[in-house]
Amino acid sequence: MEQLFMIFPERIRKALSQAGLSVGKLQEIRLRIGRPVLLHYGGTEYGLTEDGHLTDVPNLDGLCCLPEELSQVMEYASGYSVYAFYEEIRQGFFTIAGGHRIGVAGKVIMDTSGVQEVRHISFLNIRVSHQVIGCAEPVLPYLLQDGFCHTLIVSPPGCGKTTLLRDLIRMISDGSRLLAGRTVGVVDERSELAACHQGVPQNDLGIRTDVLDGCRKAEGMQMLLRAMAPEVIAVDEIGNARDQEALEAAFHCGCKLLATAHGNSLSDIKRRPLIGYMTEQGMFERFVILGNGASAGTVQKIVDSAGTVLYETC
Amino acid sequence: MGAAILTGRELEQRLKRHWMVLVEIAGGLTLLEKEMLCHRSSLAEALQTVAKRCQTETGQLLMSAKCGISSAGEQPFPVIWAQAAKESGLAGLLTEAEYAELLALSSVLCSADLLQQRVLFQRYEEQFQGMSRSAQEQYREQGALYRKLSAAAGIFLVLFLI
Repeated sequence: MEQLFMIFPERIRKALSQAGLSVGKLQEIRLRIGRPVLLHYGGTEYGLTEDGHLTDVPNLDGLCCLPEELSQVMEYASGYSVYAFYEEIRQGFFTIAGGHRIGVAGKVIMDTSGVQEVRHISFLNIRVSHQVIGCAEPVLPYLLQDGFCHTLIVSPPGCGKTTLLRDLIRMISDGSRLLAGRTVGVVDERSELAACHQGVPQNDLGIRTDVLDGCRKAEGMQMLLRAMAPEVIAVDEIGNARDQEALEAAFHCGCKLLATAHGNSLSDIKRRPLIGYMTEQGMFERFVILGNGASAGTVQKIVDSAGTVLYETC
Repeated sequence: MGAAILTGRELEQRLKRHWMVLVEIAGGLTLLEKEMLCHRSSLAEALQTVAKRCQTETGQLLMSAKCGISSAGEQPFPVIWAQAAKESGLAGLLTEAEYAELLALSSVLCSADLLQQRVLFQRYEEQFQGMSRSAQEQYREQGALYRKLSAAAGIFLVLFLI
């Protein structure tokens, strides 16, 4: 936590340190010029006072972010090298040491090819990285049948599918008593899985994992197949028509697929052209359905390709 | 006579050093721009790479700034740069106006606005190139004068003592 707080200027850093926050509960810190500093902590939004107290009702009397303070966060977070994150900032975020992601907003300069630059950055959303080591342990046994099965993780947004995917990658890569370690290729299009900072994964994805950071899924899967000989290919959020060809190539090369998709239920995602097609072709052998339930990441159901329920939450 | 000549030579060398420092700062800016905006090296790496190619106090300035960035405890970059400039001893070689421009380089090297950063690099490269040309002119004219005056003073002193 102290490493994360070092990216803030002294006034804000002091207030955050005095707040006595618990690492596991801090989700986001939002900075907006002239507006209260907001924390998403334990599922609730709080303001912050200068002396480090959390307030239920944030207002302008609390700790507000000054323009020079927001600039300093950009400086410190980027190692005084904001220009070096130019490509990432064009996509609206950049990843810093520790795997934390900083979303940016401001004046967008567009041209015919798309976003050129984000200038006058006035809004920051610091998303605190949480890797939940071991969250895939209860799930992995259901995904094995003569080795690892082609698996699709389905959930609505914010329900932990990326967190589960990350830990499954780690477990498959490292190996366990259930499964010998496998070479895993990861196409990390949004830098959320490995959270690479200057090419180095900040999250633990296992000892046999190769990562293509910031690469589009379709191109990335082809690159991995050509050069990295993966036994398992992992991608987050499929559903784009562009991904279909690459997924089929991976499948027919003998790679196991591990992917996620947005959706509320199995019937919901099967209505989508790509996933419906892949399911009909038998390209997925296991479906893990997540929900919010007791907390984010709750496994509601695990189903095989025949629709047999292998696991269900009561 | 020797002392007079040496004094003249020292003044001449000082002018030359002043000129060389400004040439090196202008050249350093061009190299830093390439390292940072083309190669996307981090600022610390870029400062270190360019510092190695410097032969005047400019190298120390860049290395001090690099060390300031790398050390624990975050500070705004203008503070780090000002401290590095102080440690380099360049204040003694540059005029007040030139030193002020040197300190202003912190806004070129560390900026959240890429478009503005490119513009500032161009502007300050031209500025320091202009200052180095003026310093070169000064070295040529005044340097020669110092040499001649110091030699003349030395001869006069000898004649006076005789």
